Amino acid sequence: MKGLLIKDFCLLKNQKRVLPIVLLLAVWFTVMHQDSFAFTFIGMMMTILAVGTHSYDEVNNGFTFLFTLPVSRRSYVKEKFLLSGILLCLGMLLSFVCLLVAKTVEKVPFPASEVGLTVVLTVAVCLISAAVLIPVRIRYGSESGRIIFMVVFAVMAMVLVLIGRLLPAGSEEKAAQFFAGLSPAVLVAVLAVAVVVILLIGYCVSVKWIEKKEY
Amino acid sequence: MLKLEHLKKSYPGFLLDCSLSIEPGQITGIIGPNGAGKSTMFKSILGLVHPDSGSIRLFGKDLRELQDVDRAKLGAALAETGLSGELTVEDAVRILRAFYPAFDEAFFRRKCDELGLPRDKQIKNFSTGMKAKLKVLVAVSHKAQLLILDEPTAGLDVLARDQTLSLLREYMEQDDQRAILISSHISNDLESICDDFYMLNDGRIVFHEDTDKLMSDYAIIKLDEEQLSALDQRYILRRLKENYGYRLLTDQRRYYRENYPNLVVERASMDEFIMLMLKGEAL
Repeated sequence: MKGLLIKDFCLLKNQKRVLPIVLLLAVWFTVMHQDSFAFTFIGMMMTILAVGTHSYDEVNNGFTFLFTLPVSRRSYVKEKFLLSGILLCLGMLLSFVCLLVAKTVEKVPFPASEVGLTVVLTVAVCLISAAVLIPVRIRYGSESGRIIFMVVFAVMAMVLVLIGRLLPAGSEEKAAQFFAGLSPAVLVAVLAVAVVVILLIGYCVSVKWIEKKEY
Repeated sequence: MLKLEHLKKSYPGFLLDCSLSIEPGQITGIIGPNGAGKSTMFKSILGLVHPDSGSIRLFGKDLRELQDVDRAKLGAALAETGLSGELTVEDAVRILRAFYPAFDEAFFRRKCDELGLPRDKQIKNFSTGMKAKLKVLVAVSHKAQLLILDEPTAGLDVLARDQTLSLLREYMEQDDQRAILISSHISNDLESICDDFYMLNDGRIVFHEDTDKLMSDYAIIKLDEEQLSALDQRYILRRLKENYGYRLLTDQRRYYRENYPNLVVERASMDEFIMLMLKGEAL
């Protein structure tokens, strides 16, 4: 798996032109007091970058070569999830440093609780995205995968809207009250469990699909 | 080292069903026309396609039981694939060092210089010859016990072919327990390095012979209709009608040379042998 990670970092080196842009945007959003958006934007960028390494593996029958190396298909999937996690952490760290510098320069107190909530939600959304994107790309390839990913999220959004409409009036308030009544620690724990379950499902589906494939 | 027993893999209109065995110290060639099943066989051995039935034993283990440590003893170079074009040779060094505990970095770097492979240029900007040499170099640079090479010399000029074959000879000289399974359309390449051959046609092994025996005992006999009728045909394997008469393939060269001194009895080149085996009429 170490070899796969090194390969992906070598490939990501070619995206070095993207990094200054990401950094610039992080600084810009921070300066414009869009703190939450900076975290979300960079988190999603990093997730897309990590999952996008699949496209490099696909070009010129790359998988055929890759699986002649001493690496199992299961390890390949693990590495893609691990890479998503590593890049996401780096993205969060970058956003955090930008914000810390900005608030220090402005001599404004660091909004710890707001940042904490933003980081938790961003990490959850990005990991869930990775858990959907990785199996879809493995099963359908990078090109079709992009379209299917958009369809999946559109369907999810439609289902959520539909549920919202079908629920009796006042349900939203009741739900808000219910969550407001829970402690932040419980909320984070519930979210963490949900993300882990989704990641496990994404991992298992990815392994099942990649093991069926022939190269 | 490698044993295939009734390895079967079917696609619409095609069935591969083959058995073969490779011992340490041996270079085994696979010859056959396009679509014969060579690549399918190679990919099955490497676990890239899933066989329908049969068994593949590698290093004494069933293919499905192989761990990464076993797979590190395998080197492969397949047609139309290789390291990502976005990488450089320097990147390849970092990657191979991480994948293979036995990766010989000094050897790899030295060979890159000898073969004219630039270290900081992206592989996608390499010539066809450079890409092919790099593929083989990657396969031989981690002290693998078995190499699986599918068309490693395809599209190469004479010089590049010679450099590639020299790499393989050097690889074998370093350890007498190593083995190579290789396919090529360039029969001269195989003739010069292989110890034995399997011929694959329509998914089946139709012939297996040692190279020495092939070169010493097999012959092409050229004759006309009248000469054919007077010929003892007990040792004729194939017959092909030509404009001037017939071309025959035999595995008893000495017998025909001694008993028919007036006939044209020539050593069979690999190309002629393949042509007769595939196009000739079996007797």
